Amino acid sequence: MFLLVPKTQPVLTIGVSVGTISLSDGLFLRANPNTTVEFPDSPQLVVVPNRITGGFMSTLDSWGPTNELGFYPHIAAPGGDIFSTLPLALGGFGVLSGTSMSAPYISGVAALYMSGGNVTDPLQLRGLLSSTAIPVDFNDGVKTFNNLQAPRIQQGAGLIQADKALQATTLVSPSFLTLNVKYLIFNLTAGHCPSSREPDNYHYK
Amino acid sequence: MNYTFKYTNAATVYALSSNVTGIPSLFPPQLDDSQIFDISFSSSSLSLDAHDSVSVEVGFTLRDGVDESLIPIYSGSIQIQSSAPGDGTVLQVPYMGVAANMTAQQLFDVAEGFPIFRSENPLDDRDITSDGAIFTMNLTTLDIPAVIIRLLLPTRVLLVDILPPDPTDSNATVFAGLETIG
Repeated sequence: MFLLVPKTQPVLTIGVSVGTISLSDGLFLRANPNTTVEFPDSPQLVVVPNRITGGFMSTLDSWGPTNELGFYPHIAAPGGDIFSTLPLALGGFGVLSGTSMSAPYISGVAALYMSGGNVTDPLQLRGLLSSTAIPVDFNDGVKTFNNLQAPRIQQGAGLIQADKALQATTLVSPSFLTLNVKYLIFNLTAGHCPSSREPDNYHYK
Repeated sequence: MNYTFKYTNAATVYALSSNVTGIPSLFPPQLDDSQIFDISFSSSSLSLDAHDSVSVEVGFTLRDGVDESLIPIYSGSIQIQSSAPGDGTVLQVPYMGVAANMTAQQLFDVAEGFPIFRSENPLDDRDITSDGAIFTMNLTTLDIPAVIIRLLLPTRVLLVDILPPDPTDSNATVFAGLETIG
């Protein structure tokens, strides 16, 4: 499970004393130097678009494969500069990066899938998430290499897509092909029904 | 449901640095968008009834002339174009492989004097392999022999044996084919 930088980057301003006023207010203050000005002391959420690394793999990620040359990592989810809850002692809210941020995202998608009453095998669920994920291009932290897919030992299956995973009706196994053997066989199963809430016409038999 | 098979390749990455011999790449590693392998399918398309399953054979063939010295790692995905409702048209099976013989790689870094045989005490630069070197094994003064090894690549097992100067030493026992005393 790996982290991905979101396309917008929320920045929480805590403890930074910055204030802006309009030109007319500035002129008023200069004309009335004894005026008292108050700035609210509550954190403000400012959304700054991240046009450099947003939507791509983080440069902080460690890469696969495993020491045994196994496929790793498996999948990516938003995990860079995530605005989320923090312990109250740390302010209640904050922006952090890492798999501490992306792992809950994956868990959330898994929970969403299983909330349909569809109890599933963990490996099968992982396979469904990977077969419906979308790969992203390589980004070196400075620029994006368009049409050059980031190595799968960096991004795995790519960015998780909750909607596609919930809608898919075909199962593929195995869900990753680790090579260094000559021939591999994978299986396709049609008509898999991921959710008990699906309309009847998704049941083919 | 109809399924059609294609494949894409991601950037091939070189695990070892092209600047410094034998050292793993730093980020960003050297990438290569040229394809170094071919993929074949036992059938390029097929049809399936609901709840049926089928096996598809995939063959990977490395192209000639691939430079194995920097340990290229290639990857990508099998793309399965699906007509089944809900599949979102394309499913994928990611793949990856290493185009080098890992059992033939150099594990130990022998640059900069490694491996280093010395005392655990940073102020004591005696060579522990020199004749007459005596260590009292005192944990407080760190009068303990040390072997400092730097690995270039990971290994599952790393053994360090202490061999007696005299191979017929009665304290020696045979382990992994060596007369060792520790």
